[in-house]
Amino acid sequence: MATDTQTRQAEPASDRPGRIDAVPVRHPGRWVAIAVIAVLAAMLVHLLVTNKAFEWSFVFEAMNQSQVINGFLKGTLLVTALSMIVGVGGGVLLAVMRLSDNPILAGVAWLFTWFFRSIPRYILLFTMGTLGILFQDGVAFGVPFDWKIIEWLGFSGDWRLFTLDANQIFTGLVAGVIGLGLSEAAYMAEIARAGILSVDKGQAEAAEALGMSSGKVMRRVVLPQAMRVIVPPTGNETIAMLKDTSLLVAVPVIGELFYQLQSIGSTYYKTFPIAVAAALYYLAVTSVLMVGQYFLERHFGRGFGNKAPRAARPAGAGGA
Amino acid sequence: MALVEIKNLHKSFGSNHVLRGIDFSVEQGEVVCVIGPSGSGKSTLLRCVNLLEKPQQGQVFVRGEDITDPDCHLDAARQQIGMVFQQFNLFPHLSALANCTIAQRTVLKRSPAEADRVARANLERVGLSDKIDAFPAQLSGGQQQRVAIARALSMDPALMLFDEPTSALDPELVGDVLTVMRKLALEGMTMLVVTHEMAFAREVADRVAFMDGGVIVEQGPPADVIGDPREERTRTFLRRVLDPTHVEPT
Repeated sequence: MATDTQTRQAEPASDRPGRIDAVPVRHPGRWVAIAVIAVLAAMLVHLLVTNKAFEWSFVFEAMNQSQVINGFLKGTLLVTALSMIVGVGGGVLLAVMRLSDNPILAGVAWLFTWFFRSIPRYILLFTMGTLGILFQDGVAFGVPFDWKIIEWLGFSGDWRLFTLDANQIFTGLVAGVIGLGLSEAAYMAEIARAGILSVDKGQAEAAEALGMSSGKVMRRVVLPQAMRVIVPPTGNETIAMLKDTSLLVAVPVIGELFYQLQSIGSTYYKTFPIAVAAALYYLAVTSVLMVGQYFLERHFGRGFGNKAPRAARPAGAGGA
Repeated sequence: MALVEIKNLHKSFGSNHVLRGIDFSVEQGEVVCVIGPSGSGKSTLLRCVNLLEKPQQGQVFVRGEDITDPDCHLDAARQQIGMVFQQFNLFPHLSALANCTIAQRTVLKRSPAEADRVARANLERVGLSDKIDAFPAQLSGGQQQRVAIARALSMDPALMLFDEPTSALDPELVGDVLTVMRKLALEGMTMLVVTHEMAFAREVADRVAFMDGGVIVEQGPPADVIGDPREERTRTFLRRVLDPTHVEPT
């Protein structure tokens, strides 16, 4: 049957019809859209270039002030990085707790998520700044309830390793990182949980059957695969965190980008150029973060999808 | 002493009583095939041998050690038992080689060089030395299942469990996997195989066990259980399974 069709196709090749005069499909809608967008873009450029209110030289001068750069590096970038470390670490821990067979751990993780998701970040940060009042003798590290035990045993002294001044902990950047980090952990917990649940149960079974302990199964087999699902929303969260550092003023932290820009703006009565300067900073960092996210996604996407993983390419090219 | 000994094993999922008192053993060097209709409990029995399923009642002894005892070091027992799954369950984020080294490194604490050597040897044993750097998604089902066999073998197990290893494969790929399993059997590996491949069971198994309704209905040499079954239930099952075109005219 197959050879039959082949010969029949090969034979009448000579009396094939000639080329047709194909007319490309017309897309009038596209041209209309291009025209409309071109006009709008021209209007935007015209606005940006000619409108005096932008005061571009003032914008760049404000962006270059040392206290602004300092606020950007410490208050924005550093706090974003540290809060995300607390958030991602805490979130993965909470997700593992939530999914464990231990009802106490699962309940605590649920309670944590409930609490920190319920409180607006601005109010949480404001509260963090005032927590020092709870620990007027400082925050001590050592044996819990040591003074009660010592009193009960009839001894004297204390069993404390060191004591931190609460007013130093719950102030400034530290309070900001704790507040933003704990709040982030609550959201990351849900993201990490979704990621862990997305990994097929057979993966954990195969790892267990090889004799891996449950911790190793999680670290070496489940989490690396869950990362593929966890990374994209975490990129989103990081970008959101970058912008939420502008809430640090609630703690209060003044060594932060937007506060510093605003204070320049109010000194010179120039509020609009200051908003533009802040927007430019956030746009720049978000762009960098998006590039970073691309590479992370590519790394954790190894072995999935149709793109050949990098490690396999040289072997394929050289050998078979 | 039997390598695996199962005593009065019961397992239910909710109200579904899947295993109803299994007494069963596997001797060192023996190849045992478990056959039976779907839902008869064969896979559950296999999964109880390395405690991927926790039985409600009964005991499982591996080399005389009761692994159902909560004090037993289960991970250590599992190291001696290789398992091959119906759905392969290769780690998709790791290359074929890394699939075979990860447990050697993390569980047996072998050096990278040693793990690498063992993994390469086992990938060669299953005929895949040219696919060492491939990721699972780049391999056919048959190749993936052979990597899974190499992964289990890399732990130097005393016993290999096969849970319907060819059921998820395209028919033309089944042969490669069965060839590897036949070779393993000839090398003297102790194997417990849940399978629907009657020709394989008849040829390779030292003993065939027929399960139905959560019990072992009959067991013995393949010539008896498959060739001349005593029980009516076995005969009914075999009549349904043994498509006449698959029977070897011997």
